[in-house]
Amino acid sequence: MANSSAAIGIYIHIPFCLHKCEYCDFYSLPITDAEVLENYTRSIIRELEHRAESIKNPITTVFLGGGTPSLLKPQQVERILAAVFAGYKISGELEISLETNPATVNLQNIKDLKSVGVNRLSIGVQSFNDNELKALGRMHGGLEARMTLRDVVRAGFNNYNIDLIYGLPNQTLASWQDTLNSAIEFNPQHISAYLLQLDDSTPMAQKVKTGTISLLDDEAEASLYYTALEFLAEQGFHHYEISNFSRPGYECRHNLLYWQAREYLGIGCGAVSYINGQRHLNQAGVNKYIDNCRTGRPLGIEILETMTPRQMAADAIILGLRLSEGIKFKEFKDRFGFDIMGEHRDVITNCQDKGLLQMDKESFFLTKKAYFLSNQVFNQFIV
Amino acid sequence: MQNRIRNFSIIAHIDHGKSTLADRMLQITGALTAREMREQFLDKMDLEREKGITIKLQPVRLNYKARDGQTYILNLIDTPGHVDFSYEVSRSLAACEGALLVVDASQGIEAQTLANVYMAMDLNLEIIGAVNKIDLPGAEPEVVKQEIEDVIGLDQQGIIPISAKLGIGVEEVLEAIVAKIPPPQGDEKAELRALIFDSYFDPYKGAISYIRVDSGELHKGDMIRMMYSGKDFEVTEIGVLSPFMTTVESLKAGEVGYLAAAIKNVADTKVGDTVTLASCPASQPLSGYQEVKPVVYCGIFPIDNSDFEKLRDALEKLKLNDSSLIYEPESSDALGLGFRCGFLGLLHLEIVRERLEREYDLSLMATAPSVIYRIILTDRSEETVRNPSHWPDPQRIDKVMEPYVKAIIMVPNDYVGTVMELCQDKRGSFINMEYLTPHRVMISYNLPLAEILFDFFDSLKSRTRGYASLDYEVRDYVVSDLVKLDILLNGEIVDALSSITHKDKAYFRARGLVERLRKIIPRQMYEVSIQASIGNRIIARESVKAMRKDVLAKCYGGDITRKKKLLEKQKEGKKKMKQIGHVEVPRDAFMTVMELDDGK
Repeated sequence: MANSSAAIGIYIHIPFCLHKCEYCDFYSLPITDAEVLENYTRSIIRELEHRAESIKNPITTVFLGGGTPSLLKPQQVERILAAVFAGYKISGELEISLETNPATVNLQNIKDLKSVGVNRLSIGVQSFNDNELKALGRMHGGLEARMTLRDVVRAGFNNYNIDLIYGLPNQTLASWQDTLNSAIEFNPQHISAYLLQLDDSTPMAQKVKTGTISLLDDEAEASLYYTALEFLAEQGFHHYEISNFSRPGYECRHNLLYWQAREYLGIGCGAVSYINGQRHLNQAGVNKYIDNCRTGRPLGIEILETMTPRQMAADAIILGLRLSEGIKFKEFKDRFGFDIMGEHRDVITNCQDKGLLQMDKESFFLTKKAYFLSNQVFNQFIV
Repeated sequence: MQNRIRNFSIIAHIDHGKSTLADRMLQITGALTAREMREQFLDKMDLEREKGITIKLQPVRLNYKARDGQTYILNLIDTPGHVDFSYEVSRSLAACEGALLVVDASQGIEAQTLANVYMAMDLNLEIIGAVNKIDLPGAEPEVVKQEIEDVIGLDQQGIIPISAKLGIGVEEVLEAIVAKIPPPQGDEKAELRALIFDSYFDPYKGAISYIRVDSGELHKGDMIRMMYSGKDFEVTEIGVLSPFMTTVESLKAGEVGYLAAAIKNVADTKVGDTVTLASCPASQPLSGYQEVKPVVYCGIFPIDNSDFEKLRDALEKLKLNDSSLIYEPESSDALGLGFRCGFLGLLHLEIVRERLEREYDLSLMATAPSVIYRIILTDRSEETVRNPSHWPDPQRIDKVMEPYVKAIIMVPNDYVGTVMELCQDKRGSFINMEYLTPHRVMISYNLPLAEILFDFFDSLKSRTRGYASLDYEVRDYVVSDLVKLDILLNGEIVDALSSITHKDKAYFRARGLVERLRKIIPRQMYEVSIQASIGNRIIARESVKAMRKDVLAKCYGGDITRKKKLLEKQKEGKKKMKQIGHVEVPRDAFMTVMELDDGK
């Protein structure tokens, strides 16, 4: 199913943080020193160069995620981006996103990031409430979050995202509304609002287990979610994915690639790629990664799944239904060669009966009620 | 010839070492080479070996060279060690002249053992006592010997201390078998009478019957007649088990062996039937034959309705091997098409269900087991109800009768109080209590069979730290104040969840049931109301709130594989659900009606 003309995204993983948050289950390490960051930057560039020859597709987005990619110096980001421009075909104007956390950047850094080509920022604010931030183990308070956002605006970014988390221990509708209000004050083009869902491996999950803290019940979480949906709609945001909201035209193009089940190239330690129907995990362990890149040894790669065309189609349904636009019948048929209603009529009508799916002439999509119950739909399409 | 034959069985409680002793006998007599030997050799079913229990050992013929220089043929005919199979026990014992009683040197005699010993005594069998596991630290062979003398009346001088595990005393046991158990007495010249004491189905040879020839002689090629069923068959093979099947030309009075006669259904070779010659039949069959009747019924349904035919096929095949299994098609509104099956007891039920799932690759649901109720209607007619959903309209019922058992419980005297409390709680009425030794007590109660079916045995074990043993036999039907308790999901009666309960316990049971169901029914799209009712009266209710959250908030390039695994798990979980109306019910729910402990 390799289609060398389809545009793909590059994800670049920067697995360093000043400090690991209580709820985080991503691969990241506490930052050591500037030397490691520099070595890692070089390794990324090597890997980009090395992989370039096998990628014929044009690149449409670059996403530096983490971790805290803003720990890189703007100049290092510039070199990484230069490697992308040098080695890959570029499709139109690139969306270049970078994740950052409050209190890890100042106005100058942000300006510099902008000048080296970053055109979209995602700021891990999570909450404006100090107690909530503390419970999450964040390094910053509400004030620092505001200062960073002010700097982002001042630096002239007109496409940035604010990450928020709800469902925190002791969170109330009022405190969540406060956080939403605060976010809106900065007039972001994009808001991601994530339910706190803890992986068992995280310290926070352990605290829940031992009863030190307790999470909200399903009803409370649902009402926080639907509060955000309603409020952000009032504010003119388009709810385009289960947890994502944007001003029209400001959807994150890179993330859309995931949900459209398009291909992407994952660069860096522990990054995942989806190429030619295969998902694979890049070399784990920063030192090993740096070592192998430096010496030119092949990277250790773990194949996560090799998919049949049917499984790829199922992925496209499961991921595509996360988007409010849902699945378009014709587009789906053109892409996968079969008629989705022919194949899944029973499941789809069953979900319609339960009020989980809605249909029009061109497409079918989740109902508003179904967003927070969407697994009940998705699990029926698993093959 | 007969002088050198000894037919005996081993009577022992589960775990008292029967299988190990049999293994040791096989070794000592050289029946098996070291290469052929494996543990629990005579336990035929995987299920038995897995559970470490013996339902029944395969019979075996041992050639034993005794100290008197003669070689004897010792036929070991085993008895099942579980109360569900007491009729089979009686037939196995009827094929023997003696029995070896094996008692654990630290546990003492257990209730079922005692019941079987009494049966052996009724049949005039010579009993040889052995106290096993004397090598274990807690062993008190002298105390147990005394107990055997007091309870059974065996002279303790003759009781042999053994360790089957280490082989200690096993030769003495074999010598005692030779010396004490009388040889068979049958007349070889008389008409053929052979007792079928067990049978099973072999896909190549048809039904194989294990027989003990009482009188006369049986040859390959003989035309035989089953005296109770009246059917005739031509013998295609006879032989002995030593322990592998070895064909012989003839089996004479006193001998034990097997016969095959191209019998297509094991039901034609019923345990207890008498084999005679069609050409010259005996005038009277051997005594003691009974038609085995199930005492417990439950509905068995395939989770996937399209597996109904597969289930029918599996039951047919299983019945070839197990003539006591009874089944008839049943249709449930909730569970679709299935079978109402009759069993000799709960262990039998469990074994059948597990074999169906394991050997025939079926996914099954079982409803709570039910006893057979006799209902006298107001028009004086009588109805027999094996399925709670067929319970007549209370308006039409004059009175209801349920089966009672006489239960015998043996327990250290410290636990008498708690055992009596349990029996009272289970609607028991006290019969008597007897001290077997200064520390062990035998308590008898009349109890409703239905109460024993639920969790009686587990409760008994947990209240007595495992020390109690139980035996029971069904006695008679007694008038009881029973009602049908229905469960409604979203207002609809789920027939498969109905149960019969005593009126005084109905409210309590209803509360327990709805609560249990609330816990096991997962949240669904809509709120699920769970109600329990007697007739039109709702006596307990609970509800499962509508599902409000089932979402993966984050799903990006790096998580997709992991998140999909979660969805796959959910999909797998759905397979364990049964859709009833709009409600998804875990298949285990139908058994919870049984597992409910109304004592707590």
